[in-house]
Amino acid sequence: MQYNRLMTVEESVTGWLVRWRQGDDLALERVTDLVYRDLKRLAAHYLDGERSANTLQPTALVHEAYLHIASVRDLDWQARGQFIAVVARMMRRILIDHARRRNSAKRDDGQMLEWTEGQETETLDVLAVDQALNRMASRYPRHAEIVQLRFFGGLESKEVAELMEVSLTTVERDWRFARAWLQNQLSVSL
Amino acid sequence: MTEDDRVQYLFEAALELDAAGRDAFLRRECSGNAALLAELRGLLAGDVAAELNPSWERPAIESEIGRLGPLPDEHLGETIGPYRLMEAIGSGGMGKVYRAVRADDEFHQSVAIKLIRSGEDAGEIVQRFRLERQILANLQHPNIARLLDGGTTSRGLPYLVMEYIDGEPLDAWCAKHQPSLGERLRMFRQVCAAVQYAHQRMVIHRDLKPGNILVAADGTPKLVDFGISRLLQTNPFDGIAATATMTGARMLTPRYSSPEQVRGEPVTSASDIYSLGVVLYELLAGRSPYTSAAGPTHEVMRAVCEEEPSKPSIAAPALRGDLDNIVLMALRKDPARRYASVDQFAEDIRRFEEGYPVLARPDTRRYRAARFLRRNRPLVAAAMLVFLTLVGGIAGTAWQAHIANQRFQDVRQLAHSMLFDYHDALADLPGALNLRTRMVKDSLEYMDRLSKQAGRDRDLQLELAGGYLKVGDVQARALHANLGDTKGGFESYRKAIALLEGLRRRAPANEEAEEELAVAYQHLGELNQQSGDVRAAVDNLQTGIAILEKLCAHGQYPSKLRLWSDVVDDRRAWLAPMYGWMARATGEPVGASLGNQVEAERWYRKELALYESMGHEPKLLVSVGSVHSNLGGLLTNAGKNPEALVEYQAALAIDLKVAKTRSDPLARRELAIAYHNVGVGFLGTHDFDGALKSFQAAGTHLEALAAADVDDVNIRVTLADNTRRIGESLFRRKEIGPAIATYRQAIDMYEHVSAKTPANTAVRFRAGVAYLGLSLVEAALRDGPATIDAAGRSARIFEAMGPDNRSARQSLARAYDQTGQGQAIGGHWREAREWYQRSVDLYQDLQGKGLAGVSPARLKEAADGLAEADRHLGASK
Repeated sequence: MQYNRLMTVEESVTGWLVRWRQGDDLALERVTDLVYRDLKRLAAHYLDGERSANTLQPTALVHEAYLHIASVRDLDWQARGQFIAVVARMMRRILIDHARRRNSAKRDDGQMLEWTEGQETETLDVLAVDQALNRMASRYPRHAEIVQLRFFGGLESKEVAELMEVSLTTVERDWRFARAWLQNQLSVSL
Repeated sequence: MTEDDRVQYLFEAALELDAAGRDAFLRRECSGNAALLAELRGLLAGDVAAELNPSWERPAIESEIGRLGPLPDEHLGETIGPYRLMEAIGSGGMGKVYRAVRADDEFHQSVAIKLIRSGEDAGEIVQRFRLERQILANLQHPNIARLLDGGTTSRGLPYLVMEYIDGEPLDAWCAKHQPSLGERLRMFRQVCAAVQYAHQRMVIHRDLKPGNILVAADGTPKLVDFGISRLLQTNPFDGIAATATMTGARMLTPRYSSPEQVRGEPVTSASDIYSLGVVLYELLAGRSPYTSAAGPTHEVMRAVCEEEPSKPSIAAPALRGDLDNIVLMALRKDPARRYASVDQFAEDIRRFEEGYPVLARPDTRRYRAARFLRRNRPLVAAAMLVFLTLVGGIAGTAWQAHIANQRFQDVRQLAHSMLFDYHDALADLPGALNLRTRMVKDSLEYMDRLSKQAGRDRDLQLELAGGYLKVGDVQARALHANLGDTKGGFESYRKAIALLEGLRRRAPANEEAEEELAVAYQHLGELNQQSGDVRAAVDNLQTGIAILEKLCAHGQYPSKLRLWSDVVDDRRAWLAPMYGWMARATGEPVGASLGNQVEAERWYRKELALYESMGHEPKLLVSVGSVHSNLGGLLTNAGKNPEALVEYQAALAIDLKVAKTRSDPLARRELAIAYHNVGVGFLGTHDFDGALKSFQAAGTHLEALAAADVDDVNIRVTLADNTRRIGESLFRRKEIGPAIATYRQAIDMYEHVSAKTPANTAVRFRAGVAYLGLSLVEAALRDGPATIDAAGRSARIFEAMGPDNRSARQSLARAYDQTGQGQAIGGHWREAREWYQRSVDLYQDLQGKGLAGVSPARLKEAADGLAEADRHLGASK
């Protein structure tokens, strides 16, 4: 099972997280690095390994990553929240890196041979979303945070609400607004 | 409120309004602020666009995956075995596909190599591949890409070598070449032919989709990856729910997967038919049958399982009618209701093309009702196919390999549930007899094989015992839908008991095994009883009762038995029917018994009291009704007719109550029997109109039940009994002609059943009773020879039942009496006297044994006959 490698994250990460909570700021850097590398491996596995959009479970897997990390004991709730936010940010970074790499690869070699599944899917350009999100953050920081957790992090609204200590209704309302805002930005930039 | 908050506030307020109101609202709120108005309009437009883009509701990683192009490939140029990888030509859930050439082949003939992604299953895949390679390699069809070879790379990755098809996936090819409808259909039928060819060789594709149907340059479709998904699955039994692993699930292409595949249920050829249906749908309509096909995986899976696909003609109106029906038939959720074979599917398309009527019909409610039976048969067939595949798989060559590893547990559990669940489902289905016969045969083979390997594994022994018990029931269980295989039933029950007795002797005590053992003794006793071996029946039932009474002695009633899931969780619910069987064995009114009616009544009252002690459990209502009717039967035979009628009417009241909530065959059968019995009660109290009406009500239900399952032996016996009783009622109403005709009808029915199940003495007994009744009518008509003939046939049947069967002995005495009467009618007084004397002797012999049940009136009849004969013989001297 792929989850096995996450178990190793959990094991090695726990200690660092605890130290971080005890005031060791370097520990966070260390843990972030660890998690980042692991997330990257995880993402690569999905992004590069299995091409079919119909392949089961990327969502569930990303989710599983959070669950594992989030279930780290010895961490108080607030720390866990912060940590998940960190993970979501990392996920965003990984995806952006990947999208950049993909774009440059495309320029190098325009010829593609793909199975046709999932082609009709209207996908979002994560790079464009990322740029729009940067613009949004200065004006609507709370909304931008929700987008980061929900869209890049793959969390459910309910989890976002818990994490941000706001009501589910607020998250849903803000998400709809943010989505409209970003979509409008994307349309403009096209 | 900040300006930014106000934007969101206005945005949300506007969303509440319709388009017209919205515009007015925005103008009013933004008067003089053109920038705000523009922003809000942009936001509202953005909202509409975002609603339409499902990607917003999915994590970004899915969008990213959706946009991926090829990545630099580290395997290119590598040599695998004798092959050099030339280019990547695709990738799927299980790995990547490359075009490769043999490094040593000067012609540079291309092959396709599928390189399996690294994983812990590699060794197993290679092993399974070796087992199945031959089967797959034998798939030689012009429309199937051949599997050529396989092995492991130097790094341990498994790979498969397949015929290289220089072609495009079906959908891409269609998009490019825009073939006509006729061309599409012909091409699709070629695909069907290939799939049918494989199905005939027991290979299921399991992953049919446009991506696996490559169209060569000349327009020939070629199927790739035949059987590959199975080969690569960890579980050889293919994603069955209990053991479905991530590995198994990962293989899925939900958009083309059948509901049963998505649910992780066993996969049959019907799954391929479904997938072909999706392919055809897309080929015709240009879109997926499901609106959410492009959505998140779980949404697709839900739609596949739950959503009724719209007609393809909605997207392509020219297809309306037959093609709609054909496609939707292949796409039915229930595998059993799809086409029975790919051939049939293709044939229906051909019929459509040639303008003939097609088999597929729209799936309306009325249609469903009208086709109730026809619909059930395929369901049964499908259940069978699953079962046989399973049993075949377990019993097959792979078995030895599997018993060695941990999968043994899964296999066992799986077989367990298949065996039991499917049997139980089938038992309720009319018309399932042939299939059940095969199922029994295969089950026994499987279990005998398993028995040899069971060793001292207690769980396995317990399960095997349960299996034998169940199979015994299907073969021969009394008063249940059975196959009439009495001999087989005995064998199976004895195997169950041997296993359970073995378990019982070993410590620690296992209550489940003990309960199961008690039930096994009960079923064996029932079968003894049915075969006329009353003493054995009593012995076995008493053994069963002793076991259960001991378990109940401490007031501990919750049952440990898992064998029957639908029964009340209470040991007393197992014990009560054993009392009932003891009652029948000691004093059954019709059929074999020890003839002790006092004892029998005591057992029935004990049974009723036990049910009473359990409260009025609704699930047991039917059983309580049966006790009333059985007790009624006993009372009838003891001549306590008014008391009997009371019991019969109590039973009918219960069954009418049950019939309001249930309409299944079992409930209907009970109701029919209740009517029948009330008729018997009326006969006993000389209310012949009431009797005839009740028997006729019973007859209506029984005939419907018999017509629904032409192979069910028990229902035919009951129908014959009822017919015999109608004959008797007619006779008592002095309708002699109809009475004779009806008796003959009843006799025909008994003889028919007897011919099928010669070992069933209960049926022989009833036939004897019917002949006896006929002789009474013939005697009333003063037809001497006919009376003698009928009475003689009756006597021969009862004689054959041996001296221990007291019911038969009594009836035999009456048959002798009737023969005497026939002779008397013809004026043959010497012969008449002889028969009357035999009758009186036999009655007196029975009376001399001190048991109740010999009717003094009957003895007097015979004695009177004897006296009359003596008078005539004296006068003639």
